[in-house]
Amino acid sequence: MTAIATKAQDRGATMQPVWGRTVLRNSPTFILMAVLGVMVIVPFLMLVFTSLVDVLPFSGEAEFNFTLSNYVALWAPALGHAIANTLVVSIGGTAIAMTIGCVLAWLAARTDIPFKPLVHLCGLMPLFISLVVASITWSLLAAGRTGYLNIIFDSMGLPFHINVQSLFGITFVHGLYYVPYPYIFVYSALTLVHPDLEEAAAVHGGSLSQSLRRVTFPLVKPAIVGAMLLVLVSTAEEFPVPSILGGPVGIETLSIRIYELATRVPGDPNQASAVSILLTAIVCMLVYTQRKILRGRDYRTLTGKGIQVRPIRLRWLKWIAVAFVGLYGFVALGLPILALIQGSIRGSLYIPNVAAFFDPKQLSLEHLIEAINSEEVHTGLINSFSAGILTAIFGGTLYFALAYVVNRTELKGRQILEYMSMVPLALPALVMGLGILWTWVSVPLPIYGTLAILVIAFATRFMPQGYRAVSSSISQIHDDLEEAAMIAGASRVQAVRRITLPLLRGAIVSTMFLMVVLSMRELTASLFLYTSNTRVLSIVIFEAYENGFWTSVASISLIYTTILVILTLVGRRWMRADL
Amino acid sequence: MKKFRSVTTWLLPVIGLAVAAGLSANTAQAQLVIDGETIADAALLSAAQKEGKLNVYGTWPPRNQKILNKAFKKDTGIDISFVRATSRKMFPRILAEHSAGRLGADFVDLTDLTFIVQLVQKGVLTVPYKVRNWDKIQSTLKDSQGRWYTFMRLTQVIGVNTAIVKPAEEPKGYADLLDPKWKGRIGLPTIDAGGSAFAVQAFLKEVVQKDYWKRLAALSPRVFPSVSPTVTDMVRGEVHVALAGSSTIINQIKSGAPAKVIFPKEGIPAFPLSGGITSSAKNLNAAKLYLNYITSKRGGTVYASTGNYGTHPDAPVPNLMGLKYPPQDQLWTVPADHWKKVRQSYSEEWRATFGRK
Repeated sequence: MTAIATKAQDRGATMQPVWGRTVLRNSPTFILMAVLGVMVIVPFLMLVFTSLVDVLPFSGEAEFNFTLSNYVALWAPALGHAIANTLVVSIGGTAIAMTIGCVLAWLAARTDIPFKPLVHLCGLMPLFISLVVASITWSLLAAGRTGYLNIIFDSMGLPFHINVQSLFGITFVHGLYYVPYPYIFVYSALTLVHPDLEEAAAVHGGSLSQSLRRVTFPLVKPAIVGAMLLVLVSTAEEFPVPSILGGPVGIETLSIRIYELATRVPGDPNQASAVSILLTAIVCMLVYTQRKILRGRDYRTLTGKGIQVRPIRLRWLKWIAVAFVGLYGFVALGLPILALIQGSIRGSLYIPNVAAFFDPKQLSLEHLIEAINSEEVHTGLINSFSAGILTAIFGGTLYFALAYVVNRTELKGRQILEYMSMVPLALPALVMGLGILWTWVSVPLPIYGTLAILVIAFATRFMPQGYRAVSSSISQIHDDLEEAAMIAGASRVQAVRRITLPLLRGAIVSTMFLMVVLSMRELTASLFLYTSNTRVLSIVIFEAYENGFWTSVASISLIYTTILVILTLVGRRWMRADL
Repeated sequence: MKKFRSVTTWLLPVIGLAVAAGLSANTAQAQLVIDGETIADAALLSAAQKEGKLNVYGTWPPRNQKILNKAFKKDTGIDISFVRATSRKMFPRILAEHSAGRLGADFVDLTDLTFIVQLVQKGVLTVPYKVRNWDKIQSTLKDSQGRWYTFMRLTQVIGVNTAIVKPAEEPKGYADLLDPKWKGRIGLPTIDAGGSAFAVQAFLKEVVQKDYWKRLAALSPRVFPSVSPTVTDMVRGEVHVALAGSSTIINQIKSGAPAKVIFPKEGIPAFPLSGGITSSAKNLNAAKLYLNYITSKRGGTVYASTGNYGTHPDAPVPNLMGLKYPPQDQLWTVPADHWKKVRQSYSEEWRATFGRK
């Protein structure tokens, strides 16, 4: 008896370390799952619950009934129309954004195009203009008879008008302002493609277009597919552009429907949650398709061999490329910034003819100076930058850890992590804002009501963008580099710190920069979570817009765009991979 | 020595009396009295001042609320910390914070009475408090137990682009807008834009003409998602007249826009800003003092300076930019119970009439 007991104890003693080792080995996955569980899954489950009951969580109602009516109610005839419109504006917008973004990224990363910093700026800057401001600016530029461009066309005797208050307009604005996503992703990825491959193609007689088509772009496919997925879903879910441009002419999209369901009085946020759950299912299917597209291929070209980047010579194409970048820069940035400058220095929006643009009686620097000196703007800027930078640090670390575990380890459950990280993409800002509010108001830690809650909300909301950006680059670095370091005696942590991280510096800094900018623009989640001590700039701008103070909106947007341009130019050298 | 003692024996009581008299004089002074109107007694004022601050969750634009906060601070010494969102976003936030026992507000206000009524039902607004001016406030502008009050009203008017619409052509009231000459020239926010849009639409239906919506819809007006773009497009000249709040139009006029406010001859739909003390108020006395203040004549005067109406009947009529604001009795406000009753059916009917799903 005693002998048996001892034997069993022995076995227990030998088994425990094995079990312990498994737990230890998988601990990164467990930790990340726990973090994502709190950040993503709890809010998501709250929304699933909301979509299945007849009352809202945390609404003071003790009783609730389970129901499927929220899903049934979605199949109204109006929905078909909204879906069709959504498909047009998101697929069209994605096509435009992907084309422009990839070309810009390739020009900046791989060629000898002149004025490279400007190409870089053109690729990133549209991100600085929030979509609310971009849509308002474009409606001032090209909506109706009094659009600035149409006034100019009239004065030149041209017989046509542009009208952005249309499906075309929404698609166009989406296309213009989602360029930074493919740009950042593909740019980071291209800096990691080993140039030997392109050179080999050239040596074997391949033309530039052949080498692009057969070598370069297939190698950065993870980045392209990742960006495409992101832009497609973001434009389908995106609210300000269709609302500002399509709202006044009665164009309805899925996002407008969700917004109306959630906010109309009496509202039906339960139904809005149901739409969001459907969207999430679609996104999961897209992520699955993406995995299938990319599966079975090896995109790792960055190996232990040294790299010497020799830019591709564009020769006569150079000037066509410059013209392309210039045209895009002018349309996406030049025109809106000119409109913002007009807006910030002139009182009235009424412009009967071209001469009125320059009427000195209407122009004054008063509003701009007022905005520069405004304490509200200062506090907003400080809060926004603090939240943005903290989000970048917290998010950057988290996304790197996620991307590393998913792409570089064989740990169990890593694919689940990837799906989890993509869930926030599908949730419309408003619904997600509610989910985050419900989650964190009930967490008994001193987080709700502080700047930390904004940081958590931003890091959650922009997780898909951040994760994708790091992940697409990490998949290009061959693991033999790390393995070599480990064979030479380095621990995994050391190998990551000394090898992988420096190689990914460009991608990580770009991602962190993206986080700062996206956090600064974010509005909806902030509205649910800010307090008088944590008022962020987007709220200041939104309130000015809501009360019709277009001069304030334009002035503040100009100030913060200027700050971001300076940051981009200063930070440019850290956004490249250190090769 | 004896003499000294005798002096002290009569002097001490005299000093004591003097001190007591001084104290009582101080107490009298410690009441909050402005222009002859007592807003708070000494006990409430000192208790509120001891708390020293007040947290308000509200819907009024900070630019305007700041004016009230400054006046309140000057008159009472109490700081107001203000968090602002639109009613539709503020409402779920208040409920969520309340349910989690973390409501950060001592006082909340919203622009939609449906929400206010729900806040009472859900236990957020359960503090019955009768302000000093209780008897002077119309019964439709307060809860029967004092759990909430309408303390300010914002007027809804017709805005006109004066660069396009000639003075002779200007509408005098809402009925004038049904003239076919306005086809395609009118802009208005959707009924779902919020309390202000609802108040106007209810007024048009109940006071101007029963079939006003149908006749207006026949003129193909532009329906905007919210008030701000409606006014912006009116100023730009994309639409020529707009149904909007007077203060939004005045903001544009101040910036130099060619616009004008017309107070419709049929009366002025005014939508109420209503609120009350929260059941979890940490600064209860400050909240009571605030409620007394905003329902007082003094509070009404501050609101008038922003172009809005207080609830105190003797408060002055707003006087901004030389505009001739109508007297208070011309304002038309939907009472809370009626608001709650018709909100949903009106909204559905309106959407169907204007082709909004």
